[in-house]
Amino acid sequence: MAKAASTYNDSGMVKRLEVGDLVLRVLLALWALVIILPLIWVFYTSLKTNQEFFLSAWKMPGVFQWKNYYRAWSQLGIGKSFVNTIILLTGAMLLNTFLVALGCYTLARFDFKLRNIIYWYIIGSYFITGLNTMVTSYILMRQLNLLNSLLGLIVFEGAQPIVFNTLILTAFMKGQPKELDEAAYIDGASYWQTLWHIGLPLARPALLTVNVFNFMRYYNDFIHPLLFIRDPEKYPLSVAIYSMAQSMTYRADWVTLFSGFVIMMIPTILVYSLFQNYITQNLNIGALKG
Amino acid sequence: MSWVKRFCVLLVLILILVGLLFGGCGKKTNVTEDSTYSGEVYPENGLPKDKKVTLSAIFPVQGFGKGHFAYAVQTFEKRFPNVKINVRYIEGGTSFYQLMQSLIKSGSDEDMYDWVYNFGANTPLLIQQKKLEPQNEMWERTLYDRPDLKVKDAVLADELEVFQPDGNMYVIPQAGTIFGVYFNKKMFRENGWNMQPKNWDEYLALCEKIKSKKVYPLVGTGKFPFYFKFGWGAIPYEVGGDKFRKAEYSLKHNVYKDPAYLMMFKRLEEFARRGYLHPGTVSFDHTQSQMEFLQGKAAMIPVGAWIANEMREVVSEDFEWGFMAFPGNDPGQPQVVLTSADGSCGYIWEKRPNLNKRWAKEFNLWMLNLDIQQKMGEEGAVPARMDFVENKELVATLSPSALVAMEYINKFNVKTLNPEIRERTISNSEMAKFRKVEGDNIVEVISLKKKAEQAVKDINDLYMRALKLDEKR
Amino acid sequence: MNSVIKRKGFFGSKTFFIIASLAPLLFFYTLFLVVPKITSFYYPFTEYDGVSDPVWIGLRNFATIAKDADLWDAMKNNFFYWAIATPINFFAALIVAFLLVKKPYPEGKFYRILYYFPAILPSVITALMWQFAFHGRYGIFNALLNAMGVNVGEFYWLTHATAARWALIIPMVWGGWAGNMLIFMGAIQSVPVSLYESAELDGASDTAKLFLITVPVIWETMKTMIFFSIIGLFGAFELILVMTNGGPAGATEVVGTYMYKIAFGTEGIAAFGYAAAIGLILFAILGVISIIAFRFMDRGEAIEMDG
Repeated sequence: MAKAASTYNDSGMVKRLEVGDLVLRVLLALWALVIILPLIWVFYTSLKTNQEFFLSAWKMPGVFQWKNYYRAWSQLGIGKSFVNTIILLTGAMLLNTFLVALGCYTLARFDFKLRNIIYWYIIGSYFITGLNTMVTSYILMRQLNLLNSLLGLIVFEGAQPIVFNTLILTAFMKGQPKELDEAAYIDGASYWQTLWHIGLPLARPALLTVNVFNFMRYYNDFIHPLLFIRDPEKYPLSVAIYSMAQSMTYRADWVTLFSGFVIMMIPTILVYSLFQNYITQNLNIGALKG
Repeated sequence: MSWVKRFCVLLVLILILVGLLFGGCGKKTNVTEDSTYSGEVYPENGLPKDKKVTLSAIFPVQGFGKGHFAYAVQTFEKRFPNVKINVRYIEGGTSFYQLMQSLIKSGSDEDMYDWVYNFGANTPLLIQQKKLEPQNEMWERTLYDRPDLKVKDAVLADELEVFQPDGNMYVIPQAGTIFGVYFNKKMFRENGWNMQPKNWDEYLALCEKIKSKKVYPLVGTGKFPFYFKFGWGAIPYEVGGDKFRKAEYSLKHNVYKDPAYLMMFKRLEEFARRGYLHPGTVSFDHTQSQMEFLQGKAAMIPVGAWIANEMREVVSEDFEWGFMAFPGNDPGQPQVVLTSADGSCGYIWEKRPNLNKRWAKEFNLWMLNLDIQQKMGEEGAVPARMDFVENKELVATLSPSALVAMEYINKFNVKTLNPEIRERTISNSEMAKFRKVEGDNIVEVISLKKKAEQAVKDINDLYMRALKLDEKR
Repeated sequence: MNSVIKRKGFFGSKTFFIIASLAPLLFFYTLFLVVPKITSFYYPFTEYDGVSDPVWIGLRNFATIAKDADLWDAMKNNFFYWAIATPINFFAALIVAFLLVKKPYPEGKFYRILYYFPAILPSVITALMWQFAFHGRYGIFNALLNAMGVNVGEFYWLTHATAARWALIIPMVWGGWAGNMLIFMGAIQSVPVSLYESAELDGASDTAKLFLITVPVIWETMKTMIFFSIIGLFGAFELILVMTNGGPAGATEVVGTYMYKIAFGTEGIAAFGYAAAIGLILFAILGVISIIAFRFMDRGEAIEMDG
């Protein structure tokens, strides 16, 4: 099929820029500044001494105190807890992706009698505040014998974002064109094969987005590990950073805390950047066909 | 119709699931009882040497750090090799309480720790519920490092603080803290300011002098208004004396209509109107108020004796801490310094194995050893042992803010009291709002948005609602 | 259309597929999300301080709620922030996502990563940073205003009720739309280019037309985001708690912070049952609002899949 002169390039973007774009670019640049400046502040504050910090919140540090990072590193006790974090995150993200990818495909693509009821059943609990669930969750985990283990935590965490992710994924999948699925059926594929070969790949940006949120959530969640796990060697990193933040209320060691946060943010930044690049590169698979 | 059937099936399945899970609810294990101890025992406490015991302890790390505690555990294990203490260190605050609540609510006595630092504001409630183990016999015990001294003669605390209304003692007082007004001694000296105002009028005069030097007399942590009570909270007891104290303690009706309580608000109002309060106070947290203090923009800060420990990374080497009791009294009335038994820890859950409980009590007694008390003092607490305070060398190792506070108390014979204790703890949805309402009113009075009389009325109304609700039970 | 080859018997059937794909999701959901919430339905009807045994008091908590002026004041604040910050966050996210996906600005790639950073920054740091920014003496906010000729002197924004209330909108917006942007980017990215190209054959090449193609295709996602925005009515919580703790004197108190203080007794005794009762009321309010919203937004059924 001959490709007519298109205003869109391979990445799906507009090829031509107009004058109005200049204004937009300036605005975007301003916003970028509004984000970068605070980040720079966080970074150079982490290199001050506490005395410098207390004497002036904004001034640049005199001598760069790289040892703050060393202190933060040892306080965070990175090592075993890093491994725990990897185990926890991998397990929970896999579990959750499995559950929602499977379920949302069906919710989005098929119309059957119980569909709306199930959909609202899932959304329904979103309105109920999770205030009292601390205690009831603990009791539940205890009765299921899932306490004090990373496996138990994985199982629990895998379930937590279900509502949010279901909503997002279902919405995404509903927007996908059905022609490809139908074509597959005509060719004799089973539902499972269609799901695997067409449904999931099409939903890849959505699944990746959902997992970015999952990553952020699991990486920063400290309350559940604290509640369910007793042995400190099983703690993930989030507990360490939370402990450090708490101790600031009575130790005024802000510069170490800032350093600790910078350290903690690096994996998130890396993961997010990777995800973003991956999404950008794997676009519009559906568009390539017919 | 088939969809109705399917829906019912789904519902039944869910209910079965729920039922299965909660069929096992409320399971409580029984705690083994121990018989008398044969074999070799330790002479000091009569407990067996050959029975291995492991105690589980939970210690929320707060203002006083954990160094002294780790040291206490280490020396205890050395002295009693058959006993091991597994400590879980956790950050203090809301998460700690959520954890404890979950433990308590789940009814699992076997999950509970043998030794718990404290249960926060819930402690009196648990005591009322008889869930905690009395430690009365320890009051008459002699100290481990001073066999000639009994606990009751050795500690600073008074009977009102130590023994609960039900006649039992649930924790051995090991340390406490002191609240008052701290200042930069050097700054005061250089400006010739009065370091010991004896009453409200002298205090106002001092503040006027400070203000004329373009410095704000007082800055505080306004974001958490109850911090104001660390200093200002002394006023009702200075003005109202024992009469007010007793009325508040016994939860008398309309106690917050008392003129002594009103005086606190009137003085706050006057203070704010004269412009003596740093304008940012209401929104500051500890860090920001300390920053103002350190940058010399404010001269005084109402806080507790932990302050030097908290700010040790930040103050310069030659910083000198000054302390004064809050001078909210009228001439002739005594000055009061507020204290709290915050450092006292070591509550024991009632439903734990007997031998564990006994060893936990021994550990509490162990913490009164002088070397441990000294470590507590270094980390900002005020040790409870009186002979510590009388020992000049040891006192010098105290954190500077605790040191100046204790010196002040001793020198000026100032009264101390713990304002938090009540005859009975009321807990209902109205009482839960008390601190917030009190704090909000303080802020509004300081901001000159509300008159002192109105504030006090609103607080008292809430208090009475809480009492009435409680009486309905 | 029934092709026989790979879908024999029950295990190949549509029914089995539907059940098998939904069962794991529903099982985990019910067990870990529903059960803890259902069992906590008991608390709103009790007086419970967190450690004593809960005492059944029937509907008394609700009577207290009706008379609780502080609670209703907090709700007004919720509406305030919701009405102002939410639309800004929604539209900013939509427009910026659109620009970053569709416009080939060279710096766009960098922005995609940078713009998400406010969401990565821990709230403790963000709160501290903004508190310093609003400081009377050395805050940059005042510095900017002074530079622009507005003389504010040493105004402590967070100390005064009205100023604090409005000031908080800035950090809310600063950090509020990063997540939304991410979702919109993903959705817009999934719109097949072929749709744009076929629209072009009709002679359309405006940015406006671009927009008109995108919106219908991502309508489901937009609907979901609108839904989240709506039920986010009572969501404002962490930023406010850390920045002002609801102060000064409750001026920035929202239902979330109020419930938190009562539930965990951060200011003394806890009243779990009462907080839970408030939660129940919120549930009712949100339920009603969402049903209305969905009715309003629904544009038809999902496309039938044949099997």
